[in-house]
Amino acid sequence: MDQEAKYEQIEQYLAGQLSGTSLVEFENQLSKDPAFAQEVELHRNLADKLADSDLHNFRNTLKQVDQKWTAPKKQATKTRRLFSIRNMMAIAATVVLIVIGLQFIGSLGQASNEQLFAQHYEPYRMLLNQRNTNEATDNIAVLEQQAITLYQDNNFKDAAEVFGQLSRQSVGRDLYDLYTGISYLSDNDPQMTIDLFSSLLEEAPPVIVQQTRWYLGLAYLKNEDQANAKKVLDQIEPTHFKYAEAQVILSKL
Amino acid sequence: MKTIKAKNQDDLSLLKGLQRSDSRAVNAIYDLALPAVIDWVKQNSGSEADARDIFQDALIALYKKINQDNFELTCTLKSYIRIIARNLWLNKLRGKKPDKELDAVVMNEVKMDNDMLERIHQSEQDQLFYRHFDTLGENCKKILQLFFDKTPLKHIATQLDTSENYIKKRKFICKERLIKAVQNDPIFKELNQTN
Repeated sequence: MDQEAKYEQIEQYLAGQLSGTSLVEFENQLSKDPAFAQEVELHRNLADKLADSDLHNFRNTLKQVDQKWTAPKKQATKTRRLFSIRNMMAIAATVVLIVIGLQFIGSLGQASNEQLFAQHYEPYRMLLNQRNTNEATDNIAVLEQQAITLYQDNNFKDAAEVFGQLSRQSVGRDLYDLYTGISYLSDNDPQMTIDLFSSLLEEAPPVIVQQTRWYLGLAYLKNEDQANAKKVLDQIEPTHFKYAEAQVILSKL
Repeated sequence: MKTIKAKNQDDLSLLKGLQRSDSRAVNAIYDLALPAVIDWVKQNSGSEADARDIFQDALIALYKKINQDNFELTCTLKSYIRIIARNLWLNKLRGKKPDKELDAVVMNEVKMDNDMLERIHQSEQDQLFYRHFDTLGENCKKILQLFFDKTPLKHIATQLDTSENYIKKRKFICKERLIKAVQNDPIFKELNQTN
């Protein structure tokens, strides 16, 4: 059973929607497999703890107060003032003007995140082979052909959907996940790519990791998240996919 | 809304404000109780950052308590929050290394009801979940929160102006990411070994 189907079954169980033989089999597995039981318990606990929207609002309020709160100032002992307030303000104003000036000069050579993305992004070439219609007899092969055609026709929204289906149904899903994420990015949904590739980066084989890292960096750029874009692109090694381009982008960020 | 009783009118007002997530009440509680918690944590192998984290955990535990059960405060609010925070910090320190002197300190603490003690015990796992939940993107958080709140997928799709299939896929990706992050956290592994 693939991961997504497993999650759906766990969710149905927790919602009391499993019945008949499915329920019996599920409960048998719970009693025989401690790791599975622990996983189901985790799903249950997450749902319990994270469902409360009032609590989330309270946590946000807490964060905002915490960020602004400073300890009350203690009684200051009198000290001789070395500088008058007037002099300090004059120095501060000068520093501000210098900083603004330097930033302006610096910004003349800087491209926006959107421009950098547009200059460096192109969908990854299709590595999967188009099969002869006669060869495509099983469901996976049919879907794969469909996905390849959609991708090559630049119909990325539908390609993402079909590659997503392939991911759920196939054992070796990393390549399908890669094209799913790239399709979402091409369809202007970088957040989906970020969510997908952040997990993929931890478990994909080295060859896929290189492409994943590059496109994840671009997805962060598209999402206006320069800090994470820099962090990811900085991890691309000299012999790896798109190293030179990554260095160009990093020099402009 | 659950009822709150307190000996002191000021404390009662603050607790009622906390119950409503009123930021002014939260700010006033910070002014009232956090400096003492910072001093104590710093004297006990911690930093100001540690103290502020523990303080937030204490307020979350108290917020949940006063919104889920009727509550009676039998000491000052400042003392009560300090005791929650100190228990949370001592639990954390004991997790790092056993210390008989610290155990003795805990034994001398003012007793709280079993429910509040249980909340303090669960706090570390709760914070683990919140911490990893907070690292998700805004859309992920919104989708998962609605899903955990038992909102049907088609209603989530309508709210976010997209298709049900997209929400289904997105929900899976976001949840998988959250679950993997929690499972890979050393604190989760430690808590599950203890249980």
